[in-house]
Amino acid sequence: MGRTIVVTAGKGGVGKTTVTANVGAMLAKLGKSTVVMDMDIGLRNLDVVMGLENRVVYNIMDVIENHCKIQQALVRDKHLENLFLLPASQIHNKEDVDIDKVVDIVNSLEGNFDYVLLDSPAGIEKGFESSVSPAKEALIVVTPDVSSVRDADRVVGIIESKGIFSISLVINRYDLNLVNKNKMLNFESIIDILGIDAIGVIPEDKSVIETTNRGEILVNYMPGSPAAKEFSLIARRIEGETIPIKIEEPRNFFGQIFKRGMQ
Amino acid sequence: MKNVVTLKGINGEVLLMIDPVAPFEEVFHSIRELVQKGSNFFRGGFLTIDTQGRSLSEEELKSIEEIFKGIGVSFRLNRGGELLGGAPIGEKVLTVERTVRSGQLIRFDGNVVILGNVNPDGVVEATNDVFVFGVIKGKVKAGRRIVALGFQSQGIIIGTLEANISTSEKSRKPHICELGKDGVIIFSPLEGKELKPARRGKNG
Repeated sequence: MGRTIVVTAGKGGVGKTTVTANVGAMLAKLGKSTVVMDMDIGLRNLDVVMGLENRVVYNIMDVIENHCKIQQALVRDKHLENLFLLPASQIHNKEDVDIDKVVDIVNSLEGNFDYVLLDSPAGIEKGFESSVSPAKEALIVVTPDVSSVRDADRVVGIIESKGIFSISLVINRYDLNLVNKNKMLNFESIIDILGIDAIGVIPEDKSVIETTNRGEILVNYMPGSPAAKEFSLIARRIEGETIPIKIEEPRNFFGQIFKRGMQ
Repeated sequence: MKNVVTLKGINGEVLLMIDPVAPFEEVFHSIRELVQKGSNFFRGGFLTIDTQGRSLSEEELKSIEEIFKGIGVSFRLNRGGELLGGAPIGEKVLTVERTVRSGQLIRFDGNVVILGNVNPDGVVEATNDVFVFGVIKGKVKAGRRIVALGFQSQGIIIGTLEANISTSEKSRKPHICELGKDGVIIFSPLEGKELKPARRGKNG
């Protein structure tokens, strides 16, 4: 029986899709069969982030409307044997989704895969509802700014009131330089406000944008980058390993030159 | 013979009146008999016990509570026209065992206990007291008083008065905010209210 985890945030642009793709890929690398589901019906993105847009034939709405079987809609990743994408539909609205059917789809996927990751859309409307309903666990993605933390607080409240869940926090785009200058919310104050356990702190990393635009997943394309390393730790923590969270000091200027020389 | 215990319905509320002078043994047995006869009537309900001026000891209250607990009835006490305040046995208390988060509203007729914070844009409203075992960063409205480990609130209202108060960001000490006798809100650290234990000198 697989585990179903929803990746959600409330606010848009904090990195839900990036986290879904990278954590999914890392879990697959750990040898777990994984499905990532794009629940952003009408504004799909996960397929382009993974570089699979040309291979999409059917999507989740086709499955819901019985045009095809689930297995036909799943798209295998370019590099990873046991990573699959269930794409969203671009021509439907979130209101078209029958939540019970989504739950059915997830239940049948749970029987065949180790992990099902649901990439939730921004907002707390029906799209959010349909991605949270089938899940038993949640990853909340926040960036260290007040609006993101406020939205995350709201989302955690809604999820808690549904009576489900172990909820973990992923802090994304954490810039220790800015934090040290008191220009960014620090780790402790985010935890203090939200009161849930962090499962990873992903440093600000320009290679994320680069790999996204190339249609490659960061952990595949640049596994040595700081963000990729943290994604791999998150996947291992999800798997149950106890690895303490360490926020690394960014290397100084000379360190960076030295590192470049090594490559 | 006069009934020791009488049951009345007033304004949709069930009122259980106890004879003020009869011995407690008799009162207790009558209540038990009443409940046994009509357990379906009482089950899961709420009633007010009017002691008509009689004062009940802690133990007597407990034994009455015992009877009602068995069939899921909650009750409150009315002692000589004055509803018991504070948190006596039987007062309605709502316990929220987590943080009240942004967008959540807790509204309750009675006391509210929050085991966690009240986060920004969370709202708690109680007709009596609110106790927060955490920091208030949202809005809290209470009829009588508010106790919390920190106030960085968006709005504190006691009765109809709004208070503009705050404690320092890092402090986690209990403070109480209540309506004074002259209709002014009093805000003070809770320590001032308790009796300080006698301190022994180094040689004592």
